[in-house]
Amino acid sequence: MNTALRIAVADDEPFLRTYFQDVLPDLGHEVVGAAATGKELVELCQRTKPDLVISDIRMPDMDGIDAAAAISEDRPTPIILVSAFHDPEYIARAEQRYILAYLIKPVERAHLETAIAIVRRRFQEFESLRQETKDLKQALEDRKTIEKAKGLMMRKMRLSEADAFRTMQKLARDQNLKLVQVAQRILDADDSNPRR
Amino acid sequence: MAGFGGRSMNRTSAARRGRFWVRTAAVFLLLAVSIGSAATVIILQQLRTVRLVAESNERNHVGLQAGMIGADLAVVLSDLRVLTEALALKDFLATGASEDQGRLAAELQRFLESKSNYTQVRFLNERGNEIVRVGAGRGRTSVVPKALWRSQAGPQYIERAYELSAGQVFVSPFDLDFEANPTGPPQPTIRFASPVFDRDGDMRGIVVLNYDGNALLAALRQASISSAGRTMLLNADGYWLYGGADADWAFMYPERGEDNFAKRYPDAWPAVLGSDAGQVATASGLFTYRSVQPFQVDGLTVRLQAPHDLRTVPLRTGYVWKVLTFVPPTQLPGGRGETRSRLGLLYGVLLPVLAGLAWIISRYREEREQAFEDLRVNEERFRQLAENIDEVFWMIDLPSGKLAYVGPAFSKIWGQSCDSPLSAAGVWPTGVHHDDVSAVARALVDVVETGGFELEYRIVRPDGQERLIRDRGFVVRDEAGRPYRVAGLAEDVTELRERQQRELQTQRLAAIGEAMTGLAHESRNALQRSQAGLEMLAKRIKDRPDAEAILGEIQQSQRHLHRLYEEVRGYAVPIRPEREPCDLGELVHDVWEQLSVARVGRDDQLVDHRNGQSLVCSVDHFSIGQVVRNVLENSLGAADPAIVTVAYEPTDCAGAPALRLRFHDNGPGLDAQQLQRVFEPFFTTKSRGTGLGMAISKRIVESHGGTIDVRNSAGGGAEVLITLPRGSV
Repeated sequence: MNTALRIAVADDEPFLRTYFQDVLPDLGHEVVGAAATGKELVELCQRTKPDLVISDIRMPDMDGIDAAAAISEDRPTPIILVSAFHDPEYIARAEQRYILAYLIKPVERAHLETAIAIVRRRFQEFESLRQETKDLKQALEDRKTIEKAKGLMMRKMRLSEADAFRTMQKLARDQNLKLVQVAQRILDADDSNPRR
Repeated sequence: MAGFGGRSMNRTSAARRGRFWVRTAAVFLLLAVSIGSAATVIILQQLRTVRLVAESNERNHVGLQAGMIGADLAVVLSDLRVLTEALALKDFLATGASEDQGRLAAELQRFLESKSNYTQVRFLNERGNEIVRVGAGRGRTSVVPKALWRSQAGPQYIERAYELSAGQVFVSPFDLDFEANPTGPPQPTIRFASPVFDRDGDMRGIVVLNYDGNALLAALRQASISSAGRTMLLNADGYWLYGGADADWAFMYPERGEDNFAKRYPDAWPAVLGSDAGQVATASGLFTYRSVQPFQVDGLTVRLQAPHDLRTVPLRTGYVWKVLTFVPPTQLPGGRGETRSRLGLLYGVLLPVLAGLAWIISRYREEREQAFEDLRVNEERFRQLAENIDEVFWMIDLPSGKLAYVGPAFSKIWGQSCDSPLSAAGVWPTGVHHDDVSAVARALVDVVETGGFELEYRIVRPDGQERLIRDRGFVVRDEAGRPYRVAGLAEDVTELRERQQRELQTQRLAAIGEAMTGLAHESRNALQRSQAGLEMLAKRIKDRPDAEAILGEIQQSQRHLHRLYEEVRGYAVPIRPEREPCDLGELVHDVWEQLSVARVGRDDQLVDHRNGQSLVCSVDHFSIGQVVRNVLENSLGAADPAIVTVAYEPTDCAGAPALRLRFHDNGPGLDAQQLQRVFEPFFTTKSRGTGLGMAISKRIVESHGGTIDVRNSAGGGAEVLITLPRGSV
């Protein structure tokens, strides 16, 4: 739980970048880089692939929210926004997927500590849910492919459903492939498949 | 507006024009009937008088004529008597001598010369032979020679004279003598005959005297100018002797038939025939008549002859003429013709005059009515204005200073009846706050010089309520420019001023809010830097407790400053409640739990009385929570341990169902100043408060359409009443 996180920070004020670099290690984390602008932050994240991003909103050339969107697109990363502003416009824009906390300046070490802990936890839950969903989706896709291949075999070779399935299992064992890979090959080999 | 008004004006003006003419006609009729009939009566009366005079004149005329004829003919009878008794005749009868015959002729000639109204005198002997004949014609008389004498066959009436006794006279009808003047027109003649007796008393002949009718008729003609019409003379059978124009003497000419009065004026004839004197008005005209009996001479016996038969009739009834005047209607003064022309003239002049008069009268009436209508409309407008405006319209007469009018809005604003608008001192208006009395009195006195005033003063109503009045007075001057009245409008501006105050407050807050928002943002960045600096510094002085203590103080101040900024900003930004159904009981409990940090080490209590009712209201959960938090924090600050009681009561707020939260604590309550200023921003009794909590609470509650009040409970402690509309739950 309390393992060190690799954190990327961004603020246009050098003093606050210094502050983050000073205080975050005290909380047991590593600051992988401090960016002064949104673009720098995006670049930093592409390069260092941090576990967490803490960013100001108002920055030259790209603000924190746009940067967060760019970073998340590249790689799911939890993001904490820190700003002196909490206009409804900002709040609405910040409601995107990977922004997990929005702190109003002035923030204290205690605020950061709490926010980081909660965000890490939430992100883990979030990620595991995401993975679960992804796995389920893949399973469903595989199932569909296998069913299609099975249907094809039953039709072409006039096999019963059980015989078709058994044939596919045997092929997989023989060729040391997953059942779905076999099914895909069967579908690929079929001339009548409209995708060919 | 203009079009509509214009059309309706046209309609009413058309109706008014119609009414105008109807009225004109009515007035005209009335005038025509009243004045016309009166004038007609007067004219008819006048004409009647004229006619009566005219009729009387005719009667007089006829009477005079009749008298004159009678007098004329009476002389004839006496003349004849003289002739029959003449000495020369007696002598001749005694002698029969021819010189006596000559003397007789001379005598008769002298007689004829002395009289102008006889045309002939003759003496006939007892055998009917003419002895002497003297004629008169063209102003001379002559003894007619025997050779020129006509035969004595003569008219039969001559013979009748022989039958008479002495003194009796035979009178012929008045007719024409065709022989007297063979070459000229026939001579109107009456023949008189009387027997002659000699000295021995034997009848020896007759004297025949021809009376010249022309003299009589000329006299009639001369006198007829005194009549308005035509003078006529009729014989007893109704034939004209005179005045009948072409019908005169018709009986003498058998070929002309029965051309007489009876035939020409059959409607008048019976009356004329039936009485001796009178007047008869017929369609053809007015006839005035009188019988003439020329021979009413006492002691004289007269035989007379009716025109067509020779019967002897009593003189008194038989020998009758009728003198008449005939006035046709057109010539009769005051008669039909004149009546017609007079009345025609009257109406010809009168009716146009009356029509003009009727027009003027109804025009005048209409103008009066219009003026009256205008007045009524004006008054109605004034009344509506005075009665419906919210302001009190008042008027004071000068110089008496008497209140002439006070509008009905008085009772509403002053909270008392309109009967007593004057103060105890008898001046307008009553109930002025004692601080303002002198200013009001001065304004009312000075207005005559200043011409007008505008003044705000307070009044205290009988129910103790204080209202702010704005009163504008001005002087009304008469045509000569002298002030004779002060009029004014007094209005209740209490709410207006309060609203203006609130608006001002809102505007001020908005301005502060804008400034504060910018300030807060900037301050956050500054505070963030400061905070970062503090934390970094704290790490570096860990080994120095004295410096850490100072740093702790700085940290504390910074947090206070931060909170202050946030609260001011929170008070200044516009509040837009986002309502959703919320159980206020639960909300109070949640807030109480949130305050557990502040209650550490204390023994505070929250007692609530839910009474099993629904406490759900549609409110902004967050902001109402903030209000409850402020209230509870105040209670916690007022006593230790604090016992806070919350009661929930259903009520209504501006007619809508509402819930009232009554918070009561066991603190000391609030003093007068605190009660008055509790909702003022930045008013605080706490050393560390911003003084915005209750002000924000009030704004939040009011933004929900509710009310918040603070007072001291009767049993001690402060009481906060929050009323919130239920909203759509």
